[in-house]
Amino acid sequence: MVKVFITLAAAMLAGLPVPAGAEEKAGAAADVEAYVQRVSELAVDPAYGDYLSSPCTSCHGANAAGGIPAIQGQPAEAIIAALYEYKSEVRENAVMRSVASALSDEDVAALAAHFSQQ
Amino acid sequence: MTLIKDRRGAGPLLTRRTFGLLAGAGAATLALPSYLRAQDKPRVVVIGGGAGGATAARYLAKDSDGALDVTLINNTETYTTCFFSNIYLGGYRDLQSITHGYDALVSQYGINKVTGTAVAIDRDAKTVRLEDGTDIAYDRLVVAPGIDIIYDSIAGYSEEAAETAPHAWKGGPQTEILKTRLDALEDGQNIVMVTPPNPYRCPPGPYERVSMMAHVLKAKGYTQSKIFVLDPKETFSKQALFQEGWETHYPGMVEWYGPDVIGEIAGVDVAAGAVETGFDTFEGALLNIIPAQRAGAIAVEADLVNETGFCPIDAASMKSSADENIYVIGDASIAGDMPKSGFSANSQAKVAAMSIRAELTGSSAFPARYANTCWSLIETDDGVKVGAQYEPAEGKITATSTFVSQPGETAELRKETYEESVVWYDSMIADTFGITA
Repeated sequence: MVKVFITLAAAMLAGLPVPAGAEEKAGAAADVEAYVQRVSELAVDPAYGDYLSSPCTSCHGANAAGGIPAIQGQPAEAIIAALYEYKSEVRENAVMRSVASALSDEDVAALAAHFSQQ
Repeated sequence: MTLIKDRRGAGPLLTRRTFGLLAGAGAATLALPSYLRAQDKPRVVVIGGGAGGATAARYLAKDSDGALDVTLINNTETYTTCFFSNIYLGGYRDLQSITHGYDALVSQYGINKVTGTAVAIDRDAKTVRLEDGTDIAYDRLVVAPGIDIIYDSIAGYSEEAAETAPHAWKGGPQTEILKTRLDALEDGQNIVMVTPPNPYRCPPGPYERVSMMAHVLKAKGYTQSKIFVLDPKETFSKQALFQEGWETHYPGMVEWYGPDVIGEIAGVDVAAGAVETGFDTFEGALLNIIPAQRAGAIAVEADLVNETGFCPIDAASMKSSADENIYVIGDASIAGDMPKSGFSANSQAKVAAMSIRAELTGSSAFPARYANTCWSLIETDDGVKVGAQYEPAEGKITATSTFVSQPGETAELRKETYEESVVWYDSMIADTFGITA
């Protein structure tokens, strides 16, 4: 969201019309890509990822399907992108927005590494 | 106590035999072959096999890769979850589907399961005494006994009276009594429910139960029966959501009265089917009396509770404030902003297991993170939820972000919320008991 804000601020400073609707979504998509790229490169402690993942499995069981998806074995990039979209409130779901809001970038990196390697 | 037959491979065999030695104790052990003698593996004993205790045992065993000797003490062979017992009451599931065994914890994780009741803790000797006199030694102890019902907090109520007027606030036989009596009601017969004062297990639980009982009556086409809810609290969890749901789905059936209307709940006469309050006497063919609660008896016996009847803990680890070798998790603990729920207990168990492993095996210790979500079902496909993330702050477990369903949500969102809860239940059971549905 920070980058979206910066983009918006830059647009306003430049006297350009403030993007709305579609432009905002396009901006958010570019933002996700940049976030995934940056967080993918963070160093992670596997033991931290193991610990941090433990609350996730209360809901996301290995056989979870339907109401709550299984996240084990998903690509790291997909996990990072999803968490970013919950953090930035692009994706709906009250539980996941709350979960993601409490995660730092380092946390997101550790979780993505953990679940993608299962 | 006899040696428990091994059902696992060679490695964990030692763990189970070691337990046999510890449990059997006495001079006879000296005659045992060396591989049966006590090892230098640190011993962790867990009292209570519910959402907190079973999760703690599983995570301790799973994450220590055999470095810890883990013993789980529970007084029954199987465990019926209190969470989702209202869903059973509503007729959406059978009792079997919310009853789980410990076989996977034993066979897959090498945990020693002891079926017995812990009656005392010798905190100096670091042993747990079972009712049969067996002492089990520990280096760290996890106390997860859940709640005990304070029967005499309501005049006229007792453990015996609960056979007729069930509390059904512990999963198992009580749940079945309530279901049987609910299903036997005829149109025009009323239910009187007394809800507990704070703090108690599962804050939205009584009100989900009202909803599920109303669902059963409505589904049978009853139009004359009423459910009177007598509450010692002025407000309750998800109140706007439940009251909206009752109006929508069960108009005229549910009457909720807080203390400003009924005053004190003066007493119950189970034989007469009556609850007396400061305002009026309410009569019903079915009484569901949920009294005040405190930490399970073993926590009281071991002097781990404070004046509230629950156990103060260190928010960063779930360690008891009373004893550095003991952790208290789940409903028995005073967990700050966290409600007493199966999900909370499961979450606290992971923090306790991480802290214990760090102390005993030198593994990394990380900052505590906790989470909880409580889903409730109001009517078929009308699910709501409340929850939060938590961290230690200001000397207690403190909510960092919270959420709650809103009145007037779409039917589609409510259905999705219920479907979440169904998947959560299976994942939670797998996470707690090591059972994959």
